[in-house]
Amino acid sequence: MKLSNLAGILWAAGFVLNCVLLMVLCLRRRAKSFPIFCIFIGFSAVRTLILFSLWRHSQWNLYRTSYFVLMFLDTCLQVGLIWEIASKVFRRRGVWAPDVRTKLAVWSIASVAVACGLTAVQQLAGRSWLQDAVLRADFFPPILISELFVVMLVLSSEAGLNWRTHVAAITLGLAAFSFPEVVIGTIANLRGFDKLGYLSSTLESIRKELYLACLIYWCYSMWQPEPESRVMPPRMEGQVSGLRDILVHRGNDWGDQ
Amino acid sequence: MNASLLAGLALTGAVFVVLLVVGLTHARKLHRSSRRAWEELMSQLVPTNRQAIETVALDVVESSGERRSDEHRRELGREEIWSLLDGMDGIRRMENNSRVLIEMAAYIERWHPDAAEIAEEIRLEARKFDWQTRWLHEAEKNNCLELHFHSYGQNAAVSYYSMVKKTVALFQHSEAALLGDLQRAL
Repeated sequence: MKLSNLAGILWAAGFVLNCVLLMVLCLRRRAKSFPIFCIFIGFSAVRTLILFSLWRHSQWNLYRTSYFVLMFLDTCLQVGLIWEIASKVFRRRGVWAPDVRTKLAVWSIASVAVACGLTAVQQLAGRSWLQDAVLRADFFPPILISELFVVMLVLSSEAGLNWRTHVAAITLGLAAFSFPEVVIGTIANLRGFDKLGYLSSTLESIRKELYLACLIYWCYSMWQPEPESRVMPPRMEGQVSGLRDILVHRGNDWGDQ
Repeated sequence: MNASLLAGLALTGAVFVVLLVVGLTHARKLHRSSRRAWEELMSQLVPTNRQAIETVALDVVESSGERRSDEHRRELGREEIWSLLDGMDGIRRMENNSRVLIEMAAYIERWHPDAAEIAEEIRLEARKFDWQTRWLHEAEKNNCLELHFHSYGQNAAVSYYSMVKKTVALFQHSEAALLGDLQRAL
């Protein structure tokens, strides 16, 4: 199978941007804070290289096996990345927020169950079991990641937990990539690869372009420093006493802690 | 298209739309909260009867927050607790302030990440308060508020009292940090 020019460019751009992002992460010393994210980006670069080489040398059997193995590893890493994000948001000073811990576990298990259920009910239009397996393997990770993303958003917003800038950027990029992928995956499931014709390559291009956009966004946001602690403006000082007037009874021990 | 294909599509579509709507709503809420100005937060606080809340809280806990173990604890009667806290109206005012206090704690944490510990304590206290008030709302819905108000209302007052004390401590911490920043600048 011959690779189109556009597909070749997108593949190469993906590899280059993954390497650039990895460099940004190393130069800005983010590896310590986000080890799984760094592994995920490094893995993506290696995966692109392996699949592209196998495609170019027409090693179809090996390509298929590698595709599944790498897809499985990719899903594991994405789930690991969600865990890393969750631990940044919900685990403060090494302890999981006690009011969120159980809910997070329950909703995560429910998300896996729903993602499995939705993947199972897909009426696949692949021509062989292999195509069906590819379609299912493509569909499962984005729906799971989208669900886990929403679970984290809801729990953190209900619990009043802050998102630090870099964590928010990683999550936003992941969500911006996963949500459209659910739609793309559903369309692909409906029609199957072969029946889609031109649409198939267009969907594949959109998928890759979205990922490239995410990589550019991550490069930019991970290069930026976290906002530093700032000095409290003088107007806030005055308002602290205003706050006390409203909330605290003067002359007793409410404010004397 | 056959029926099972349509059913699968409808299910996927429904889950996707729910995820999108819920995700966007909460992302917007988080974004708004992170952009909220200090003045806006201040303006959202409503006055409460501080003396009364303190009286109700100190009937159960010491001023340090420790549970009282002396024989004079829990001396307030049901009617007294109801009237001191101004019934559910008073609880709603405290609920409003509790939500604002969480945002204030998050605000201060953004300014001074080293104040994270006390901000987390306020947040957890607010969650306890939420839990108590949720029972009160349930009791109100089921017309059995009289049975439950004295216990959940009093515990809510304790959490609110503790939360306010910690918020004030957080401001003292931040003011100290401000002083530190000023000293470094000088």
